[in-house]
Amino acid sequence: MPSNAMRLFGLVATTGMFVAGAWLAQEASSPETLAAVLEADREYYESQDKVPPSQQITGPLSVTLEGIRNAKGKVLVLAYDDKTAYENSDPEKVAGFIEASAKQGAMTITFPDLTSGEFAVVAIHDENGNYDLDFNGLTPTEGVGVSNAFGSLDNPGFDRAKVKAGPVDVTVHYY
Amino acid sequence: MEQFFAPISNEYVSYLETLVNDYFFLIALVYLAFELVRYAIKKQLSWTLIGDTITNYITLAMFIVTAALVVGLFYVSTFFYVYQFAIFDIETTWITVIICVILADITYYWEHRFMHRVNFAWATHTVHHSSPFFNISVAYRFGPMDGIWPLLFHLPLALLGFHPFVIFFAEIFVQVYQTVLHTEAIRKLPRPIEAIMSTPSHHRVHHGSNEKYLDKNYAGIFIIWDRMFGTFACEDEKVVYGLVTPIESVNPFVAFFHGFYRLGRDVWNMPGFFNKIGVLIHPPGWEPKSKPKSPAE
Ligand SMILES: [Zn+2]
Repeated sequence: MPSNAMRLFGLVATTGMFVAGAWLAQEASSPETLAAVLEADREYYESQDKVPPSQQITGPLSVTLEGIRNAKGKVLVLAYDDKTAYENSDPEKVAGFIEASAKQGAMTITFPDLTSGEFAVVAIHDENGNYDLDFNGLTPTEGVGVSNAFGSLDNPGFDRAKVKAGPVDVTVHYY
Repeated sequence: MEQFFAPISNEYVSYLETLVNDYFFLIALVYLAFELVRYAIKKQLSWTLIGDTITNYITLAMFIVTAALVVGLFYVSTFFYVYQFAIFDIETTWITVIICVILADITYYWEHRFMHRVNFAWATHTVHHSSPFFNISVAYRFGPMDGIWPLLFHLPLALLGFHPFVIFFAEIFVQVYQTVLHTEAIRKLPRPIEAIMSTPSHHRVHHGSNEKYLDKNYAGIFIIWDRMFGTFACEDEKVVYGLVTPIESVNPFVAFFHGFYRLGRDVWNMPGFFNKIGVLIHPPGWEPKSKPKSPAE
């Protein structure tokens, strides 16, 4: 049987580790810490005479759309480099927008100007050509694909959706 | 370093949780096949072992059904309810996920110790320990109420400010790590690993009914908690797996319900109201200090 001193030690040590851990998590995930880390990263790259990954030329962004079900209407491809614009689906604030006639199966769309940085890519198979993704209630009736999404109802946040400029595959999902 | 500190979405963490859990189940089945072949080569394969293995998965199925009925959605909503009162403001990043896994590991230690040392919780956890074998399928052997205790023990993490999805991920991570430990195929790992991490060797001890192995090595990922809180034992004699009083049955219903049957019987046979309560809240095998004459004797 454990002694009372051991029980007390267990309680105090555990509570201490919990509070310390949560406090550490709070500090490590604060915007100030992130800013400091970004600054340290930038200084490091500068001191090494290297270009930070976010400015390296890896592009151009070239999106291969897969799984387009027919050749009706258009495909609309939007590339966002801004988190808020992406999360609000704000078409005014895209880094790049290209429309093309739909082709059944796979097709590739290239953004010649987007050569560096990271983008969240949204592709819509606009079958009726109304420049919008149509819905029936909450489910889309046209094809939609977002970089790194795993289904038509998956709406990844910017950090999961973002991909480096360069060749990228995006699957167009139909509900 | 940026990727460790940048925010990640909680839905993504939740998606990873399901992914880890489901894929690991398949990996475990493949590993089980390897273990069974190994037993066959060593001529240790018996019908009892095969029956016991099947029973392990049947208890898993029964556990999932009872968990869905009893806990189900209630589980998730309780976490979100408590999360509103978060003390710290914790954004989800890989760093915070790692911290949460470590805290969930300490939680697991205490929850596990509680399940062994308090009779009404032991009634469900005894199912897991009732197999006289030790292979990866035993990791999936669950008791009827095994879903309740994680809820109560992990709620403080939500109160501290970790997002429920991050906590669920951490729980599954610890659970999956624990699953890997259920094997006889790995003897001992290099010393520094045995010193810090919970290993198959440490967990074999935990499943032992040998006198010196009882109530030892509760750890999930890190064995340091057992060393810290005085419940560590080293594997130095051959482990006899299973319960001190074996169930001697591969019947899945016997395996699944024997804990509650035994608890009910012990409470029933114990004379005196306070002694009955005593049986519920004390460690298995408890008897009152001034032992009243038992009519059953
Ligand atoms: Zn145990």
